[in-house]
Amino acid sequence: MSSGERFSADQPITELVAGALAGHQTAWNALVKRLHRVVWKSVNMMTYDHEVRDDAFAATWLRLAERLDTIREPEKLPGWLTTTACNEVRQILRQRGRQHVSLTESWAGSGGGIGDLLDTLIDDDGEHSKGMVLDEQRRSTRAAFARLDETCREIIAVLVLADPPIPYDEASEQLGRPIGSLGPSRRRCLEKMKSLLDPEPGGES
Amino acid sequence: MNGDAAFDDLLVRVGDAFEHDLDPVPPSLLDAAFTAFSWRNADAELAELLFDSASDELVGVRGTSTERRSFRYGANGAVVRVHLTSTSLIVMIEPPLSVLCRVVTAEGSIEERTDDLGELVVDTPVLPVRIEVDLPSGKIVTPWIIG
Repeated sequence: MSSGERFSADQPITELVAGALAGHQTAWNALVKRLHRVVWKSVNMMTYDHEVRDDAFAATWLRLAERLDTIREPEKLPGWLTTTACNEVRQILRQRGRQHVSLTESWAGSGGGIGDLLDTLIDDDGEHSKGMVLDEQRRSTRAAFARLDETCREIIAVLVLADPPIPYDEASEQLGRPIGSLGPSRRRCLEKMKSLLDPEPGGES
Repeated sequence: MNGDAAFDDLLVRVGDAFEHDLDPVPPSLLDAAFTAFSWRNADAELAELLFDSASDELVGVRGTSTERRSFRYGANGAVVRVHLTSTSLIVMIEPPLSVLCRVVTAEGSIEERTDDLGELVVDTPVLPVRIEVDLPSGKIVTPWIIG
């Protein structure tokens, strides 16, 4: 094994996985650098408990290390990592008997949305207020997401983060849910999310 | 998973909401991710999780999981049961065999032989932990027990 082999995060994932399987720590490190954002985003979407989030992040890499040789299609690793990270959060929360979302999060209960904020803006200059509106829009989106049940958060996280998208059969297997329920669940979750974001469609203006 | 166009904007919006204000990954967590590779045990067969009392309680009665957790794994024709309580970790090999066992944690590993009944009891280790067993048919390792 040539210890001088060099790997970088912009190489194809397939090469990095092959390098790691051949025992190269540098290939693994490049894989982590390449894909850590998707894991971090997944755990942050699933919980606001920092301890759970951090443990699930670390656990996801332990799972990948122990299962690396079972990854048949390395290019789908982002999807695999997303579902694994979601599973780890779910397991840790369940085992520790914790709430999924801290309702004390300052923004989690705010339902006012952009309309309320616009009402409070007084003669602001354009750029600043635009930034504030975007910030508020993001906050209200996260707040709506936080109000979804665990199943919906997982399904939407996978839809958002799995790139390329995971086929139903793989998502079904990785999420431990019956394949027949995924299509209807997905629609139900997206509709729920939409209604949380726009509680009274057409009611404004 | 081809989405309805109507929902595509929604997914983009959710993705953006979490992307934009995401805290950076703490360096200690990135280090943990790098280090995970050194725990790889390519020589042993990964045992399959057959039962986890925590998952089972999904459909059962809530409430007792913090006192005791049980796992059952299968590999190489053998079954490894692991019971984790607040004070001890019990490993049981079926069929009963006296074999070398390693209880591996981030702080190191304890190597001991199971008794003639295939049992080994050690103090509860820090998590995560995994069990390596040298069966006559080959080495096996359980997935990490995270917490």
